[in-house]
Amino acid sequence: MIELKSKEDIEKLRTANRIVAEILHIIKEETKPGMTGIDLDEIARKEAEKRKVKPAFLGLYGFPAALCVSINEEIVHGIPKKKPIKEGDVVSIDFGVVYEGWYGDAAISYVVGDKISDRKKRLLEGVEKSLMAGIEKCYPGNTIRDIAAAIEGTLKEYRLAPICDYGGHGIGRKPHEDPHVSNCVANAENVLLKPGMVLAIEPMATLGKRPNFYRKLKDGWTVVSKEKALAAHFEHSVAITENGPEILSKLD
Amino acid sequence: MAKKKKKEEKEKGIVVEGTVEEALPNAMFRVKLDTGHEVLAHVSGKMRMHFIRILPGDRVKVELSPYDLTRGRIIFRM
Repeated sequence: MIELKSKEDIEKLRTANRIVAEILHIIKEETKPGMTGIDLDEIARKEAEKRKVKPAFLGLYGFPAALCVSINEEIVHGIPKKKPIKEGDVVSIDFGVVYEGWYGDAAISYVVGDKISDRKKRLLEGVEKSLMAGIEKCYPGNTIRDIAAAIEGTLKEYRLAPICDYGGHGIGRKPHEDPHVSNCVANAENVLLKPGMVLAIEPMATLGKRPNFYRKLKDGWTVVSKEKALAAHFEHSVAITENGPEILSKLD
Repeated sequence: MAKKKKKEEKEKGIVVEGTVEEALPNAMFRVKLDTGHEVLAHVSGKMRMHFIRILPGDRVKVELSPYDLTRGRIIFRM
C-alpha cells in the first residue's frame, strides 16, 4: 500500500532529508586518503548526534553500521571496514536518519583526492545524471516505469552497466515503503505517480560490460560487481507534488 | 539504503489428495481425487530425482494446475 503524505508530513521529511544531505556533504569533504570506512561511519554518527537525529540504518534488517561505505567495485550496502581509503578510490556513501519518526535517505559517490580519470568521471557523471533524469519524470500522471526508462536510458548513453535487482523505494514513516522504484524498465512496476508520494530514487551502475552482474560478499551485505568493475551510486529522496518533483535531500 | 526487488512468485496450485487409478504409458497417471474428480497427473521432478515409484492404488497428494483443473503434478506419495 502506498502511503500519501500531507504537507506537514513532507515538511518533516524535508528536514530529515536535508540533514542527511548536510551530513553526506560533510563526510565527503572530510574524506582524506588513509582514513578508513569506520572513520567515515564515526563522522556520520557524530554529526547525526549533533543534530539530535538517529541514524536509520543501524540495525535495519541487521545492518551493523550507521553509514554504508562502498569502495570501488563495491556497489551498495558496504559495511565500513578498517581498510584505509586510497587516493583515487571511488567511494559511495549511503546514509539515513530518523527525525521525529520520519525517515531520510540519500547517497552520493565521489573520488578521493584531486585527480580523477576520464573513466571515473564518466561513471560518476553518468549515474548522477541518470538520477536527475529519473527525478525529471516525477510528475503526477507518469509512472515508475517512466522513471526507470529515464534512468536506464541515461546509463546507456554513458555506456554504464545498470544494476536492476536493487533499486529505490517509497519512504516516510518507514525507511522502505511501497512502491519499489526499479532502475530498469524490465522489472519496473506500472505504478502511477500521485501528489503526496515520496520516493527514494537510487540508480547504481558499474563501468563493467554486463548489466546486473553482481554478487554478495560473505558478510551478507556488501554487494560487489562480479566483474570487479568500479561502481557508483547516487540517491535522492523526492516528494511528488502537483507541480512536480521536489528534491528533499538537496543541499543549499 | 537500496531495496532488493523480489522475483515474481510462481502461482501455486491447489493441493488435493487422491488414489492412483492407472499408470499410462507416458509416465502419466490417472488419479481419482477424494473429491471424486479424475485428473491426469505427472510425477514431480523431485520425486523422480529420488527414484520414488508410483503404482496404481497408491494414495498421493496432487497439486492441481491453476490453469486446468484436470491436470496436476504428483508431489507426495503417502
